[in-house]
Amino acid sequence: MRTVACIPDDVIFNILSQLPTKSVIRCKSVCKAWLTIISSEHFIRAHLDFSRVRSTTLVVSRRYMGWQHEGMDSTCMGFYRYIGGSKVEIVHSQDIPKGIGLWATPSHCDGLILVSTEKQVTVVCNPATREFVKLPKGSDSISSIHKSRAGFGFDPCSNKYKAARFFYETGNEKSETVCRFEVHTLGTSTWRRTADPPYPIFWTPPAHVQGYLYWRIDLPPSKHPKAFVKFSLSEEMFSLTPYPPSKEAKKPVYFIELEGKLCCACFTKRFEAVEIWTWTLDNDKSPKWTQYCTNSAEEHHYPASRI
Amino acid sequence: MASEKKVVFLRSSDGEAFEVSEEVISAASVTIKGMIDEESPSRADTAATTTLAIPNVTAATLSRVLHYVNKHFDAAAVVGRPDDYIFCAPGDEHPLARFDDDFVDVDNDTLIDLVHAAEYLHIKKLFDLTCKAVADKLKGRTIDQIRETFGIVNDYTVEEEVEVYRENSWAF
Repeated sequence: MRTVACIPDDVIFNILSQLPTKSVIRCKSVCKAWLTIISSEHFIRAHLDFSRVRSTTLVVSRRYMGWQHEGMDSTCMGFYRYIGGSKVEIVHSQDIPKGIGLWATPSHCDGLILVSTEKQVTVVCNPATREFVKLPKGSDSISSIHKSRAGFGFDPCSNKYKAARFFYETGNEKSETVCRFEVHTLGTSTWRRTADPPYPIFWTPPAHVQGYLYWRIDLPPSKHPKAFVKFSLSEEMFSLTPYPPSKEAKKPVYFIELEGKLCCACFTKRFEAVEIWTWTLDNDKSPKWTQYCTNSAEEHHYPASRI
Repeated sequence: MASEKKVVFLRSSDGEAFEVSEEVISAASVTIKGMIDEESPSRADTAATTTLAIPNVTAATLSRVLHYVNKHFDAAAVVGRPDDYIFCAPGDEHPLARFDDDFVDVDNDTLIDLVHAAEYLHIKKLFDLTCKAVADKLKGRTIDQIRETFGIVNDYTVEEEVEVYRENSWAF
């Protein structure tokens, strides 16, 4: 190729932003100017936009040791790219020598993966760049059932990634437990308390959809508002999203983000079928639930999201 | 009143003139649309055709660019959705994917000329397409080969280079 000493920076910028992550990381070694371009926030955004075109499905697995003094302990986080059928290939394997406890379904946003564990450790990993960050410790939760699960997403107003988690504290009466909530902005050193959630939060992992986190409510059917708690990562305030208006189905079981929309699965009363609903914003003013499909529940299907 | 399709002439750096529909080139190139808009008050009353000088682009490159632009515009006209074709991202599944692949399957000098032309003429998707093609050629190259390609002088000290390499050694 002809040497072109006068290629302007924005041409270099565009060329580099279309390279796969591994090649981009290598290109940091070319010269200081390229290192500066590649490390800039502007570049990282542009690279992410190009990467979305060729998004892949990741499978995150854990390897764990037997029972330690406080329970099972995960010592390795494996990231596999899903190829098709039953085939996967390894992307990255993150050793965690000291262990972080067991974790449930990770949360993810823009290829960053957040894992919160039973030991109340929260980590964020970028499998594409091998970066692995342990977040500061959040408040302790007294509830043994409701191990805190952190949600994770992007706040378009502040241009920051935020983690958000609930925890339970003893209330005024000693027998009473109160659900609290706190937010951590990535890059800072603390968790900030927000207003309390309007209802106590259930332990299943939250879904992140376009700047909002959705959580299930932990109340018996008689007191249940038949809604999800919705938390805005920009305003750091709560609101409610009603359950899908299903005639057949019981309460929603699993919910996740699907193609930029909130999607939830509800079993019918006798577990014969599972209905998948999506929450669609028609014109920003009147969001509504749309039934996506109904599957026989002979085999259990749960919605799964793409990273 | 049925108006005839307006055309403009583009004169390359080496003096060759190319005819192109004003509608097509305005939709494709921000730079040329700007030139036409500037010219338009003086053109309104005359039947004279406009010739625009494109001093940074040679005839060989300009003819390729116009081929790309016409092809994409025609495909857009068929479905009546120009955004899908003129502005579709490289890598998208679309009927011109094959055409785009062949279009950038050229020698390196020609490709670099196309990158510069797309940048100067401000044809965003041609710019992305040609940059992607350069990126594809860079994928398998060593750091030294990349420096040579871009005429870059290594400005790291030995210690700094070792440090950057150490931080990112997994990618090598």
